[in-house]
Amino acid sequence: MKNPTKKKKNRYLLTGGILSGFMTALIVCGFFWTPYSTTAMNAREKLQPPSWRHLLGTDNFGRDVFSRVMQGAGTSFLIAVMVVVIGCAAGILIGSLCGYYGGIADLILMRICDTITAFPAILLSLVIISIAGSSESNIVLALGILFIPSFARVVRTQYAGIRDLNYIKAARLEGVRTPRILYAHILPNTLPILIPALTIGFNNAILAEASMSFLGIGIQPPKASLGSMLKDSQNYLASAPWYVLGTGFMMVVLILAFSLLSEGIQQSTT
Amino acid sequence: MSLLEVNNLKVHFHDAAPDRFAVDGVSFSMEEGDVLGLVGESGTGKTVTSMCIGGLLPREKADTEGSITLDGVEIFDCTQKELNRILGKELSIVFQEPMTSFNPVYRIGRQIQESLYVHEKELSADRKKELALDAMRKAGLPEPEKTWRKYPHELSGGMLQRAMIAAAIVTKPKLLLADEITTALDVSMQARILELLRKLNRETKMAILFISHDLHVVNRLCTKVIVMQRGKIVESGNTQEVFANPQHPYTKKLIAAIPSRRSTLRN
Repeated sequence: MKNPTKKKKNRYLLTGGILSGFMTALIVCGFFWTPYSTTAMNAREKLQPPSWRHLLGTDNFGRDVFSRVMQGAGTSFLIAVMVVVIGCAAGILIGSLCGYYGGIADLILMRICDTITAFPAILLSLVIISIAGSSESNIVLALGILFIPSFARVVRTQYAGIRDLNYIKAARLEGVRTPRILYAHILPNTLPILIPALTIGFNNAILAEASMSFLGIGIQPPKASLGSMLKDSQNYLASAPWYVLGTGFMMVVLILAFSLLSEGIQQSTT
Repeated sequence: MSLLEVNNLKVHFHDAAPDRFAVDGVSFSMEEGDVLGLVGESGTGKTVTSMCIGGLLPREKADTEGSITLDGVEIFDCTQKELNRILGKELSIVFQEPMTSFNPVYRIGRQIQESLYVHEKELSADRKKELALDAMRKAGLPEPEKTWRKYPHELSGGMLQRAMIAAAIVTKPKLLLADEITTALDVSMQARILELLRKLNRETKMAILFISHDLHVVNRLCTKVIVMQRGKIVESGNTQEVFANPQHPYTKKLIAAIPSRRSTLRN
């Protein structure tokens, strides 16, 4: 218990916590209030460099980049959260059943997961979007499905290991029914692995949404998302670098914050 | 009607040779309040027998023959649902390795209550806690209230073994199946666990099927003993008679292997 190295401050957790707390605050604030309207165009103020009036300058329609980044990060954040929730819930369900029971169903489901993983994610989501049409819920659904295998695999491995441990046998010997064993006895023991997987999945989801919006199959204008803003800003790389830098910076910080947080959690649990 | 009746039990593992039975025609019975010792060296089918009684032998790995009735219920005919109703209620099983037998993420108290959650749902939370604390006291855990809030890693092996026993007796089962429960413990702790089992047997009339390879322990605890070798019962009877006058050469050898105070390290 008294491990001297444990007393060392967990810098990852600290900086990750502060950064992600700050980002979350910014995003939550963006849902209710932004310094300027995110959609009102202003021809006179287009492509203004950063100033005290516009912290990150303005874009080609004269909209405040900072306000749009706040809202765009919120869009990306919400989508990423929902994607992770879908992927994780389905992944836990599939992974727990596969890992606990094993057998032929496990084999088949895991091969399906392999197949999904083998496809480039963007290609698959492109297919789904072009069939179902581009809307926010379709993006969430497409990415959610794509994220199932990674969670299912992690959860399955954990379940396959834990199911043979004595305390699970003991629970079975007390006559505990299988669902309770699966989700009350085993699931909490997978958390040290599952939580980092969640945050990594969250980061990947932000990137995936951004790449889809960048390709124009994600969030549609005038709604802002980090990906669609990056796409718009690339035309003004030379004339208005603050536009692309501000947007990119926001995305980097967002992902960095949650990566650090996950690293910190990982270190504090092992 | 006996509490437990095992009739001509045969177990064959699929990956063993066709004529090799892990348990080969074992029959015995236990009455209420019996303390029966099942002894034999490693691999003689003691644990396989106990797994059969608990209905735990995976059906895809082994074929079974014969019958096991617990309180008149045929174990082999039970569905998983029916088994779940018996396990932890009529029959509790405690096995070796107390250190790994508790879920590391929950407090001890909660885990001792678990059987009550499963079998006595209608009880109030306070009543459950009361029963569990009572079981802990019976199992000889000092300061049950304090131990209640502890996590498994905070307790020693001996404490955990007693907590296992507490978890097993909380539903007041008719039969306790103890599979090598003293093997991982040091001698003084062994003695205390044995004393505890004897007391529980006296006070609650709970029958105990005690599986061990340690004849010395069996001699001290059990009223009856069964000696197994290669899946077969080679000798059975009252403990004192068997120990005083072993008939089968294998039993003689086993008894001769008990170290006595006079034995030396010479061959």
